[in-house]
Amino acid sequence: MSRGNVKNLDSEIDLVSVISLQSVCICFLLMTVVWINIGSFQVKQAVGGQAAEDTKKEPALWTLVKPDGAIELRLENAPAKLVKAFGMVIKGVEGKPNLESLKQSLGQLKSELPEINMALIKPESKSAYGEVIRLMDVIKGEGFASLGVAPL
Amino acid sequence: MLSSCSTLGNTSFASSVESCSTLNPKGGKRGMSTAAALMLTSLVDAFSILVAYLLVSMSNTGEVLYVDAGTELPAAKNTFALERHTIIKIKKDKLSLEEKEIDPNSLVAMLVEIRKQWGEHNTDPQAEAALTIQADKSTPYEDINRIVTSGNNAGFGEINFAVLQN
Repeated sequence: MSRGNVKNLDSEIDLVSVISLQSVCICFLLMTVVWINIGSFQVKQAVGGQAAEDTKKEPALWTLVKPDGAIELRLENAPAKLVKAFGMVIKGVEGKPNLESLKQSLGQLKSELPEINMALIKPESKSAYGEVIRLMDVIKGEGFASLGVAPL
Repeated sequence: MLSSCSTLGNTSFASSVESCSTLNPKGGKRGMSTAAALMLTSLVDAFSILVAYLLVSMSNTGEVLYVDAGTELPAAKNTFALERHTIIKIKKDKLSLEEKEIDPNSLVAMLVEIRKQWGEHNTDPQAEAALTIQADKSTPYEDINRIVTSGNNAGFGEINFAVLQN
């Protein structure tokens, strides 16, 4: 058999069609890409969601927002010493909750009582929804995994 | 030989490096074309990177929530990925359930019906019926509270607030 009859096994990719395919892909993906990420904040109804006997006696922090922006902290199912130490009112700044002071207090509480994971929030009826979410975000950021809202 | 009988031979251009060289510019010779050369390999590489990046950043969960114009969601850092649940929207005193405007007085009855249907299809005993609330950040909390309470009365144990991820 002569060398000329041997079939050439080399093959090449047609770059024009590859580029066309990629251009179509890029256009499609650019049109469908999500630029704004929407997440969710998970909470539970703090009161009335379950029977009293089903409720576990675990430490919980009540956060009550006052009309002047002050935040009242109240500890439940915790050692009496800590209940006394962390039962406080954080004054608001220009009618809004002072989230920086709250963050510090929660950090201290978490270091004293690491097993505390539950925080219950009772906002003021006229509070803006955005402010309530910011408050929840700060509390969750300090390691309180389980959040609940109390009905007004 | 390979390039002369292949499609590449028809589509490839002279090397841009060769024509753009400043040390020995072949492009400077008389009669040479002044058209810029295109490096197809690097173009394909760049396109591939772009496709890979866009594929990674693409949302594969589909459209979960449609945010109306004029509604500014509150922002938060410690959030979860949004999942598809029953959606209630508040927009300027108007309430809509699954994109249909409803009478606020009939909210509980409608939620009870949805909860009943969910209970018939749900097979996981640990799962809780969930509700997603979407509202503008300036909405008074008393409006949100009405929905949270209605959801709780209807048997929705989990309430999700739609927020923008920071």
